[in-house]
Amino acid sequence: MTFRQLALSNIRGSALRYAAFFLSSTFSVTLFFVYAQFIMHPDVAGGYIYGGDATRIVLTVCEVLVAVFAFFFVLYSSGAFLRARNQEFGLLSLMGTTRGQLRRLIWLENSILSVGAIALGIGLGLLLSRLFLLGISRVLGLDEPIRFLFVPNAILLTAVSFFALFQLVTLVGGLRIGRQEVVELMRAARKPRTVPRASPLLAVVGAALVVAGYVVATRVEGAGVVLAFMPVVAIVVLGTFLLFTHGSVLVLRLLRSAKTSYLRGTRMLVVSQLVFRVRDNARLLATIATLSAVVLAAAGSFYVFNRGFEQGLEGMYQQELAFIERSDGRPSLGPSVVDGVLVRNEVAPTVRVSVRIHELRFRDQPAEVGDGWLVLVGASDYAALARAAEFAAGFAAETAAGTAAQAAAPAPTSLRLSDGVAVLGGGGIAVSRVAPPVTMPPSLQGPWYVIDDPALADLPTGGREYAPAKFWLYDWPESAATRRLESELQEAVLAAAPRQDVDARFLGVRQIRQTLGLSMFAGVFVSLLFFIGAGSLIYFKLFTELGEDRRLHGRLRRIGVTPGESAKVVTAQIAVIYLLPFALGAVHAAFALDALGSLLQQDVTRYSLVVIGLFAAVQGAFFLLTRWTYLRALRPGTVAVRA
Amino acid sequence: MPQTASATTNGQRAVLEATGLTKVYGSANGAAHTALDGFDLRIQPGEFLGVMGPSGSGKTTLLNMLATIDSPTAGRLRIAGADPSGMRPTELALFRRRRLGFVFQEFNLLDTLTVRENILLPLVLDNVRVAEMEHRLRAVTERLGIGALLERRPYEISGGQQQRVAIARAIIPGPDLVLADELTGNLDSKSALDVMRTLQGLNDDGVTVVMVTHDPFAASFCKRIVFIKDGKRFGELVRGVNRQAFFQQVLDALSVMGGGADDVQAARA
Repeated sequence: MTFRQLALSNIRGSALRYAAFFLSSTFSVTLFFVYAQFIMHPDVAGGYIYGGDATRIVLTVCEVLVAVFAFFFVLYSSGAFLRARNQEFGLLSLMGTTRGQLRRLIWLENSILSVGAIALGIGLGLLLSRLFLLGISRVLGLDEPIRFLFVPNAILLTAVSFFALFQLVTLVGGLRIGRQEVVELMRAARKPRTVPRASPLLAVVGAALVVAGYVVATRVEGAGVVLAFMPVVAIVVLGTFLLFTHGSVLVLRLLRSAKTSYLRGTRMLVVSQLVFRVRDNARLLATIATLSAVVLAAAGSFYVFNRGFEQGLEGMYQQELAFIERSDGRPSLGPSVVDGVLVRNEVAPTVRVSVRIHELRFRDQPAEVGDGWLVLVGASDYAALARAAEFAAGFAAETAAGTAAQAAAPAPTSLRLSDGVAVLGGGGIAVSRVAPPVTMPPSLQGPWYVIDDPALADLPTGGREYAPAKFWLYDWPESAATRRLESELQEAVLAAAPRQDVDARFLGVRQIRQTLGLSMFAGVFVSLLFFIGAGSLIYFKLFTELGEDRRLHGRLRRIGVTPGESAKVVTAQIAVIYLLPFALGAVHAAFALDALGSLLQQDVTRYSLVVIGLFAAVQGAFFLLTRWTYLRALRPGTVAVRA
Repeated sequence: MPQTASATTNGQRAVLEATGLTKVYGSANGAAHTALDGFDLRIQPGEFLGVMGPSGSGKTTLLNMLATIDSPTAGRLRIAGADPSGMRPTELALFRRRRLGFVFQEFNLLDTLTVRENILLPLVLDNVRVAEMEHRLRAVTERLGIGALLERRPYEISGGQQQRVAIARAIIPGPDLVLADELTGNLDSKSALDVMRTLQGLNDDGVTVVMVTHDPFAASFCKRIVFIKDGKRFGELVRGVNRQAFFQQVLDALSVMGGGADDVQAARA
């Protein structure tokens, strides 16, 4: 038997024990890889996705945190596995295995496992990315779904980072093994766990750091949020670690000293067990709390942005359809086409109005006007539009009385254009700058200039580029906006006119919803993935302690602890391990979202509650599932799972 | 402190009464093994009974049934006037907690609890008032000489001390019967003597004890010893005045019974 075969058969022999470790490692790799795929996807990097840059930044932060998380997790679990095998190593030493050989054995085993985990993790990641893209195309009916790609850089980054990580961890663990005496190794399995020590000072420092972070998060305004972001995250993360490692022990010790409440029923057992459980898992729990916070905050931000945009969207499209009908020979849409489609679909428009517009081409304009076309509208036409589209154009009513020049609402602007003056005659002509609140094709966006009817009639055209056209505005009830109508219109409209001369609710909303939905979907997908990953990590972790718990509850059963009391102790233990990190993470996230709210000057409480509630449900489901399986596994008579 | 009657007076109701106790294992594949075969046992209040026998004789099976953590295939069992066979798991647990005390070879103390908390565990689970707990704790720990250890952890004290803590936990609810399983098995000779004297002292105070053991030395502290072999009752010895003479009788009985040579060598004199 070669050395490699020994390593392999060791892995096979403790397959059950390694399964949890292997699967958790695989999960970390998958998570890391899916993030990497998004960050490095050319369409995301190239700005195809709406908000791609912001998404990339958020995901990059996530990526770093996943790496940190994975490092601690692998370090932690491989340490635990090595400790569990101390007796085996002691036996091997006794038979004359040298330290070097032992280290090589551990290195070989871990390398085999890590290569396996990396390969499987990337494979799963590819599968998940693919599923994700298929899902999103179906959900959103995208014309152009994000392409499924092998992103070689993402694969490379994941493989190299994780291989390095595993090697580093193995090195640390292997060194530790090498330094112990054989007797120590042999005895290690029976070593009792000593009482966790905690420093009250560090616990207080931890609490102070977290509170300070919260205070800053609630106090900062505007740009300060961006500036404070990194320092606040840093102190809150540090505070979280201190709270879990020292604060938890301290709190439990305080609970312990309150005799009348502590010495009651199962409380004594719960609290005394938790002291060890929480302390043993402090780093893992703190990491999960931090990552929960990050993921919740990220998901919350996505959600806030998206809701904001969707609401903005409704405001952007006051009417269903707007387009320009040209009379200068350029291709354009005519009302007959639209009317045809509407009649075919038996839809009666509630608004159908047209306005004569005059586009003047000016060069050498002042900065205020900008380059390009200037849109002029006659005062009575503008008043008609306002009436039809039902918007208040205070001055438009006065226009009818011939006082447009002194119109109240928008301040009149004198158009002093180098050659415009000559065109418009005299010492310039008074116009009112307006921005009608109606659906507007891109080419007509920007201010319109309302001009007295007589002045418009006198407008000389000599030598100037001058394009008279009609602006058409249509609206119909939302109930009439069927999918069939919209697709027929879209076909007709896009066939007849260039995109910048048309806009419609169904075009814009659809387009923006696609991109928004995409980032939303990506955000939620990745967050869910994280929560499933974190949930299963705790799950695996708990099951590595199953053997010990079986012994404990076996003893308790003998001296007369009822099954119900045992279940209570276990439930409380699992609940704290699952829900405490999540609860703390949720509080962190709530403060982070509050800071986001002050950055956006928007109340985000409702959105935060929705997101946190959703994920609380996921975490709660995990808790119940774990409790159920764990209690089943603890029941006397079931075969112990070696973990 | 124990409330059991102080003497084995005549005509008193037995603390434990077993008739025709039988346990058959593994009948599923046809290869049945009878671990205990029609065993009868009657224990009076205030007794100190030893159960001895070679490995595989059915000692542990018997003890598990007396401890109500295993149920007999046939036969009747009454402990403190109750029949455990009709009880649901929760009732059984409460019965063990309140009516029986346990002392094990491997102590079975919880490392996560202090000595004080380990002793109080049965009372805490029953929500006894704190003042009452403290009162009983003081009485028990003074009696066992472990008052100074209360704030220590089980792994910080010696084996003999751990066993005395375990005894304290067993008697603090005032059980009708204390069951001890090889309680000197993990102790050095001095600690074993210590623990056995403690147990004897408690018995003198009226605590009823059933002890399963391999160890003739430990057994010599009993007032009566029941021998068991191949699941059947093999004989019985009642102690006279002299413990040393009783010890010799036990050794003789074991050598007659055979298959127990190892056990004899384990004796400490």
